[in-house]
Amino acid sequence: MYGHLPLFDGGYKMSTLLQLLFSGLEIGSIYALATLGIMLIFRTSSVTNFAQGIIGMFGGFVAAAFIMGAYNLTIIMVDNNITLPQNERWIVVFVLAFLLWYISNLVIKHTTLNKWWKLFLPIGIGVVISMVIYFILPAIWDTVARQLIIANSLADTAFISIVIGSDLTETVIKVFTVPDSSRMIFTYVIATLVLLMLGQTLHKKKFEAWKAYGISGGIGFVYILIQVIIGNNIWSVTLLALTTAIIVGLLIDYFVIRRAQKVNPLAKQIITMGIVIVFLGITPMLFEKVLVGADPISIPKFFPSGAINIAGASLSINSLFNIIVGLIILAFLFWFLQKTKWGLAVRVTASNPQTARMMGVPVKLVTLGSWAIAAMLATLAAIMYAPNVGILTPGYMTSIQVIAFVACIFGGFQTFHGPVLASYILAVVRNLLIFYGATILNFFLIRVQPDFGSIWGEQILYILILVLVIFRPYGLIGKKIVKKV
Amino acid sequence: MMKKIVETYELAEGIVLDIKNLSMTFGGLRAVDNLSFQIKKNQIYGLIGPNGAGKTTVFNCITQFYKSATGEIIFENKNGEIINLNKVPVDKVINQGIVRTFQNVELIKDLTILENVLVGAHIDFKVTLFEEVFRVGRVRKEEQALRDKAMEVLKFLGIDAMKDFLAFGLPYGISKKVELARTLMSNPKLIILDEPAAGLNDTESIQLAHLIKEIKDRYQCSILLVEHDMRLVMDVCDQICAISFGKLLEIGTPKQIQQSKIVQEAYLGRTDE
Amino acid sequence: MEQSKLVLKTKVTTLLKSPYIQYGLFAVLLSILPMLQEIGILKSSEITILGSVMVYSIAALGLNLLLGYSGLASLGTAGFMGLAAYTTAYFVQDLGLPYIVAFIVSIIIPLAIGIIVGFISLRIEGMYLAIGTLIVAEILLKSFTQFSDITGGGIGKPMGYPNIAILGQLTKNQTFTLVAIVLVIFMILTYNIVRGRTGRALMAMRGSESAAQAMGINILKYRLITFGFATIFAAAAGVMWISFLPRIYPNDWGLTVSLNILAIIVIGGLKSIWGTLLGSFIVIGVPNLILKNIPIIGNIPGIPNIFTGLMIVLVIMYYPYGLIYIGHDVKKWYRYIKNYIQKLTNKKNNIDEVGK
Repeated sequence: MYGHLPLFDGGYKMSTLLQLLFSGLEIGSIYALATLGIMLIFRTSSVTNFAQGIIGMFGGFVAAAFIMGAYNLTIIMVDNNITLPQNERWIVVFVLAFLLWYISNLVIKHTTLNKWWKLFLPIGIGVVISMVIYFILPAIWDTVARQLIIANSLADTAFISIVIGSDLTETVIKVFTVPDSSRMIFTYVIATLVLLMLGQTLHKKKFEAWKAYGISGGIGFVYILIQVIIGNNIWSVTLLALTTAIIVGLLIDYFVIRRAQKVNPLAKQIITMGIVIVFLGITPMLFEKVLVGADPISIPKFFPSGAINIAGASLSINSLFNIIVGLIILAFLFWFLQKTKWGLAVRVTASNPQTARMMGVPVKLVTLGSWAIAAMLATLAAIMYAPNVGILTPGYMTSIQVIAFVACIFGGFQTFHGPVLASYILAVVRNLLIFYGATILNFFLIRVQPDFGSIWGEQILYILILVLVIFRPYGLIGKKIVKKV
Repeated sequence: MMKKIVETYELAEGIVLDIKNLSMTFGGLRAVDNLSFQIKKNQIYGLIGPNGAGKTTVFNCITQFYKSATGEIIFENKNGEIINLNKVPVDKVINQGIVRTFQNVELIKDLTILENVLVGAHIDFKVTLFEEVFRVGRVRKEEQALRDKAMEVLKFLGIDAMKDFLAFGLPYGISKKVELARTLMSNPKLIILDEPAAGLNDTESIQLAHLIKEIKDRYQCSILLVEHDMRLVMDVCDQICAISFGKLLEIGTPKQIQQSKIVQEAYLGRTDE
Repeated sequence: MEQSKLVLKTKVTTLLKSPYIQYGLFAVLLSILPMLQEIGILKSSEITILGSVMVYSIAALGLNLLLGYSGLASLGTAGFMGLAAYTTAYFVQDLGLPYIVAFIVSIIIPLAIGIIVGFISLRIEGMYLAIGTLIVAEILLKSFTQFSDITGGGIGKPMGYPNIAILGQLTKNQTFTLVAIVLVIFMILTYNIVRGRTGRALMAMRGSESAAQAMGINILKYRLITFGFATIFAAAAGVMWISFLPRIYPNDWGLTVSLNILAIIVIGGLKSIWGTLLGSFIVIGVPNLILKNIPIIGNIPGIPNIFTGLMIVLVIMYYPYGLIYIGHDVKKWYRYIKNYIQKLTNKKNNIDEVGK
């Protein structure tokens, strides 16, 4: 875990200090991104988000799954002996899809179905059409319906279901033919439902099925486009993971946090802990393919090699990149908060949601946006951190989560810049304690073994924070709010 | 070797609480300014003043919720000792014999009325934690005895039928009675009532006045009350202290206060334009 | 003859209402379970799972005191459990001391740390406190990994079933009974604490600190009491853990365990002793005993966590007082339906009457 730190050589060389500083800045960036996400949600939704780390982990796993080929379009097709349709067959696929949407829309317009029926009608029709083709017209199954399955594989790749219930059909078929299909049912069904609801809710006023599917399909299409254009590398994968993070953030805010408005703050915290547990369960379920695969699950660095030399200290290009990206994003977000209209909306909501609503600030959009951004920040932090960890497990972001919270306490919950600053300070101090732990104690005439720092460094840091919190309960930059009796 | 200097205090005959030069500052604001008054034994004493005059602050200073007040608060406690309340921690004030009610009725919503009243008897439970955990016979006996006492108090206030109702969502008048019951459990020498008539209608206020006098007689204690309802104050109080902006305006009987020009000015403003 | 039957019935009902009798009967019931295993009705693996349910219940009762009654959030439960477990293992395996001595020491050491946390809780509140306890747990967790000579590090620390002075070496089923007895004892202790003035003081402290202080309740003292008891319970759970389960690893004591224990009291019922047991059964028992055996769903990895997490979210939103109170709702619906049917039959009768 301390692999990126140099071995203790008893020296106080400038180069060693710089090395520690650089690695501290890099890890500090990671902490800062996670911390800012927590603060954003805390100030706008008044929720202490214990799920920040786990959402990041989820995004990281999405990235890992893509880059390891589990959801890679080309690999899936080869595995399943599928070839992409030739031009005219794509037309067939889209025509069928459009027919379905049109029929569903017609049916919906001319009947008085309640919204849940409307949601599932297209799936039902899709299932029926697919079944008809599969069982009654097997001759054209290969040419036509199989294209639907390809589309479904696209959905597999895109991690969401796009088309028409061919999804469910294929699943049903697979249940009876492929042994390991049980998890697939739930993956597909849940994914379908989730995105259909997403599509539906964005058009709450006039529910039009085709719009719902259109949006879901559109998102899927974006995924495919990214893969096709940028290829399957860390950059495209990061984009995909960030897109997924946005969706996850929006879903959590819409379906959970918003429904829990009237609940007391402690209960809201517990809800986020529930979300953590759910994600701890969903991750092995959705990523079983990669978790039980032959290769250990991991994410490569942005820049695999290369380093520059500053005053004897070696700074890898990847680290430099992480630091710069971190600073740019933080700078951008601070600029956004301070200088733009939407940033003002966020700050107003952060200080008092009730008043904000009365002044016409679209508080619901602000919270949605905050969750989406926070999820993105967490995912980015997770992807940056992954190469440090090596082999990923569902709990790999837990330590980041803890330290991000520590940074929030340390920096105070009243400001945005406090915890961010605290993140960098914590990271650097942690490095210093781990590396120079023994030296510092020797300075106070306490003799300890040379690697005392690496054993006790982190614990001492935590203890120091606890002591600090006891004496300054409102953080470095916090202000005390006087309570009236 | 420094000898510990034990400060002794004195109280005039018949006085139970002596406030001497009480001042309290918040930041730059003087909330209470050099206030002095005395409460006699078995007396109902009223503290009045316009909004923001600092009445609740005075309460909080007496009951030690605010610790940085200057001046002396001399009190004759349950054991007959004369002490300076400023030296007493906030959770020991009730041991000395002073109890209070709160402006926003602070009942424990998750407990029943009876349990809330039992909280008032907290200091009367003599069992140790160890005995409690293993529920030794003494625990049961003590609990039963104090429950009986609580039922008595509830009966006295007329709310014994509601003893098992949760304190959550009770009508305002009942909540206030429960808080009052809570204060009576510890056999106090001085009860401080923070706006007891707030939110009560005329009938209820008259009942309250009657009740306050009954309490004084039955429990042989003094009562200090802060109130806006002038009728109640004039009806019930033996002596009144009027303050404004934290400063003393006048001390006197209800009739004297009613006729005082200084008090009228403070309430109604000057009319000599 | 009728009269004496009625008297008997009333006597039995009153007796059954006493929690002590209920807990005693519960202990008897639990002791029967290992016997069921011996005659083949229950599997050995099921006994293990039920044992885990009991161990988690003990820790959860402690957290219930902390969170349910006193309103203080703590995420450090697992850390204290681990500390107690490793201490027991060390004392019994490495130092060769008697089990009872190890038990006592394993409670005292975490208690000391718990008291310190109690002091800290005066300075920080609400979520700060939750995070603070998280930090304490992390410190303990890191120490478990670092001190691998004592804790066995990644290899794990084994300890056999306890060998108690008078009773000799216990078998698995006998240890199960031991855990059951410890659980019931702690249930009784919890009941005694919350029933009397300490319980009221804790709830007063939670409901209104000002009122509590005005009534003579010393906040520091009761914070220490709460944290002290919660730690004792967690420590006892840790001792039972290693007494019953074969081997412990540093990762056993991570955030997941603390979260699961939190889930237990939230789902079961925040101020209820039976609720805690119900919650423990739902969180630990149901996924492992029932869900895993359902044909399709059972094979999905991560199902226990999804189930638990969803239950937390749903219970908080719709049943904030916990599932133990579902009984009230069921009664309400039953009465409602009865009334409705009554109304219908009355209407029908009236119409018939009018018709005549």
